[in-house]
Amino acid sequence: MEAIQPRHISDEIKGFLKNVDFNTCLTCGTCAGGCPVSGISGELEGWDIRKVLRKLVYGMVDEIVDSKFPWVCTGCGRCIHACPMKIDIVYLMKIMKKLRDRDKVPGILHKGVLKVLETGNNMGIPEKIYMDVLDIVGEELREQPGFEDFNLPIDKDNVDVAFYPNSKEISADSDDMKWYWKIFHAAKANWTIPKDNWEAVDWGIFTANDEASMTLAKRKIDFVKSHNIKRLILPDCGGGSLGARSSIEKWKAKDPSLAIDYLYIYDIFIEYMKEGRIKVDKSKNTKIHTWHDSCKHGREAERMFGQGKYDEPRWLLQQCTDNFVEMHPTRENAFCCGAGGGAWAGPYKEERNYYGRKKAESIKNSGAEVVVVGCSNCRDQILRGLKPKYNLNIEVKYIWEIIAESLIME
Amino acid sequence: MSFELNGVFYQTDKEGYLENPENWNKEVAEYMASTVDTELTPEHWQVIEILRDYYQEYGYPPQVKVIVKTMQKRFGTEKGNYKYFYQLFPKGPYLQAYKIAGVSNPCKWM
Ligand code: SF4
Ligand code: SF4
Repeated sequence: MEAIQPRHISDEIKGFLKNVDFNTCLTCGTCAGGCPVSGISGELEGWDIRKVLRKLVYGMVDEIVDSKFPWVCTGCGRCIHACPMKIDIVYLMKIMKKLRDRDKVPGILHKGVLKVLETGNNMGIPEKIYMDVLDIVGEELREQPGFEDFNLPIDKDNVDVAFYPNSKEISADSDDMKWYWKIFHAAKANWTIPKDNWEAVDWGIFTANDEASMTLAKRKIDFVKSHNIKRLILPDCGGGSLGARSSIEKWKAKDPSLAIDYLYIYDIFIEYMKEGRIKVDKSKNTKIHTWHDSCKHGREAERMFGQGKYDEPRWLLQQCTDNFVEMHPTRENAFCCGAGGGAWAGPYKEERNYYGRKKAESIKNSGAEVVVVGCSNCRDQILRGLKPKYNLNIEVKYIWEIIAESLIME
Repeated sequence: MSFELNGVFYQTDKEGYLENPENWNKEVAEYMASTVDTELTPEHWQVIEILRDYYQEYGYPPQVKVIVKTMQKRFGTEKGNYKYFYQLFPKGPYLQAYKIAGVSNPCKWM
């Protein structure tokens, strides 16, 4: 009889895994109980995060790395939030992604990372098309009353804030940019958008490509510094905010002279409202509104940086409407929509929609007619994924869309 | 996947877009149009030409806003508006116009 051979685990993997103490895991299953992936069918049938952890304990690293699981997990952090032993499952799943050969990264994500490194945006949109689109959208905005003298500030020096668009806006949803632009214009903001390397969203965080994330963050730091810009706005939730922020902080730790000031999109609009620079008309929003807590602006921001953006968007929303309801669960317990961790751009649509059933339930039970969001991937998943899939009778709006549409122009 | 026209084979991707936009020609356009229930009129060709011009110059297809704007510049506001564009290509830019012009979907570039 042949003796069972112990598996060989490479030093690289051991190095990553030694940051997590599996011995403390109680195998209680709390993580799996709160994870929307549990109960999934298809290739991952029978898998859940607790089982994945047990497999890792047995050294079955390749099975996890080769599976869909780390790519269906959205890094929402609900597991670690509830885990009594605080085992860092989000980190573990990141390592599983990292160990995947780059040419086997599912879908377009890795190609997007290569594109952004090469061209400055995830889709490789040439400068001419970027500038043409910005020009046309600006022209269209000038046709609207109150915005006749709108001028898009590109690569301006000495401004208060820098704001980055994303390639989805340039390639398809260009009208969405008008909402931000309107608010900046109404607030007489001193702002700018970049001409080069303009991509807001860091897909390096979605593929666990730390080197790429660092390069992308450095470009933003360089832009802010070279144009003497006071603050960088972190847009979107995963790649644009949490990803960019983590890498900006890492640069600062390496070299304090690279520190820059940044703020979330909510903070700048709160500032404008509190300073009386923009005013909104509540009577425009009579439908029942609810707020979708994105995991990367809420729970994960709280875990990594000590504070989640829960109150800020609610405050803004309550300036725009008197008709607000909470979802349940909410705030740090809220479910991810299913688009996180790059899942929206990834190829596993069925899994993504299965994942989102929990959010769809929360939305339905809230009775809300308008689901308000602060991220383009959350928006797309709820509007284009969950709404048709679960027959949700809702509108999905950005918080800045509501503000822009309620502006009182003086 | 592939199709054959006058003895030449053309590769397509799984959504039926021309694999290599460089291989595009007018017969390919006619064939692609037939796969999306479109009969090409001179008006369709005006749009397709814009798509091809842009692609040839920048290696990337123009966004629908850019197409409409270019139509406006070339043929006036009567043809340079969204309503007119969607009358010609009711299934939209990606599913119809891009496919016929052989420039595929921008996501393919990634
Ligand atoms: S919740 Fe924590 S302790 Fe419980 S099984 Fe999951 S990882 Fe282990
Ligand atoms: S991060 Fe979210 S999706 Fe991933 S295992 Fe934890 S609860 Fe599940």
